[in-house]
Amino acid sequence: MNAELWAAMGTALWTGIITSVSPCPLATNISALTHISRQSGSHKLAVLAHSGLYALGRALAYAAVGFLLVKSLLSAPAFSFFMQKYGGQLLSPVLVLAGMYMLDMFGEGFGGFNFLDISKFKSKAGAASSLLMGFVFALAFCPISAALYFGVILPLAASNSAPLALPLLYGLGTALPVAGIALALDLGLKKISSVAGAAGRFERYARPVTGWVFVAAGIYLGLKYIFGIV
Amino acid sequence: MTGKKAVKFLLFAFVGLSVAAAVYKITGAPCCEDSKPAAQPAPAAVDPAPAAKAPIAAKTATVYYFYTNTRCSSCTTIEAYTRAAVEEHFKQDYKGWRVVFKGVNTDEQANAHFVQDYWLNSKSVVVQRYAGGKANRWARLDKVWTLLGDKDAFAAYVAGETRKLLDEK
Repeated sequence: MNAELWAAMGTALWTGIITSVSPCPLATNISALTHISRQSGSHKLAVLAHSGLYALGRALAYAAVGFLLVKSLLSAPAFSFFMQKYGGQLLSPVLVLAGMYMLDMFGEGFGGFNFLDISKFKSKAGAASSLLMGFVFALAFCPISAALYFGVILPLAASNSAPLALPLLYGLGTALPVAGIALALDLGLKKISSVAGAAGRFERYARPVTGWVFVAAGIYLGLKYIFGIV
Repeated sequence: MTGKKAVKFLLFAFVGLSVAAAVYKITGAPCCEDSKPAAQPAPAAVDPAPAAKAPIAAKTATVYYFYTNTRCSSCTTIEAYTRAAVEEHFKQDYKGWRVVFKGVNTDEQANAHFVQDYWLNSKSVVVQRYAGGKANRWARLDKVWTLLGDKDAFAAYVAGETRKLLDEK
């Protein structure tokens, strides 16, 4: 691998981090952070695994879009503006409904979102929740992610003949701040639990807090992208 | 009705209303209502295709800031910095070129063509040269998004790229 490709890979990762720490994706980042953090305590590596899967979901989404663009199945400007315009609008009701589900508002017998619940899929596909969340959140492009992904990453990928590697690294970069904070929180919570004997207390509140964060994020996106109020 | 039931009802109502509003906006909204900005945007300019309209001066360059109805803090910063850069660096003509700033809302139907004309992906800054009444060279300044944290570097980039374009034969 030549130096130019290494530099491009570093740029892709760093650009992803810049994207993630901008104000625009704050609502989805907070949602992801609470969802990942609430796994703390279910298994000693749960937060690490969910962080990785969330990052993988994001990376796969950007790689998939890059692949479709390279194959000329999508027009970059049309797709970019479509997702910026409608991504937030589509995500709003989904987040509110997911939050309501976590708050048990659909009744106890409801099992429609079971794939979102790690406890019901511990042995098999529980990981799907974070993977899917990463994938969906990545597709809800906001102005900065669209500008940097379509304006910086894809041209860089084309000039370096790395149509998959650079979008993947960009996707990982966009997940790094959330994953880093989630892991730091996890470590802190474990320390507190071991010192104060508070194990179990966090789990009790984690699910409703996550549910309310999802509801709040969904309402915020709806007010911003659908109703144009905020 | 208990508190939880009331909250549940309100949230379902919000979801229903959101879906209905989104579907209406996507499929059923009259063309021109959609073009009203959600927030107060920059003064919009309705321009035809780059080659279709002759500017008044013989040699002008327009530094466009393209935006949409949905605004964001980074977007308004880019707009403010670009406008400031043009006002600061191009008070006087540059080698006979008059440089002006113009904000254009691409969500307005008359401006939608700019998305394809300049291959826009997001809110963008584009410098378009007009000479002899015709649009010719242009450049999209993609690095504005990575220079947001440094106003001076941002201004230097916009001014530098504009001068570079105007220096071209």
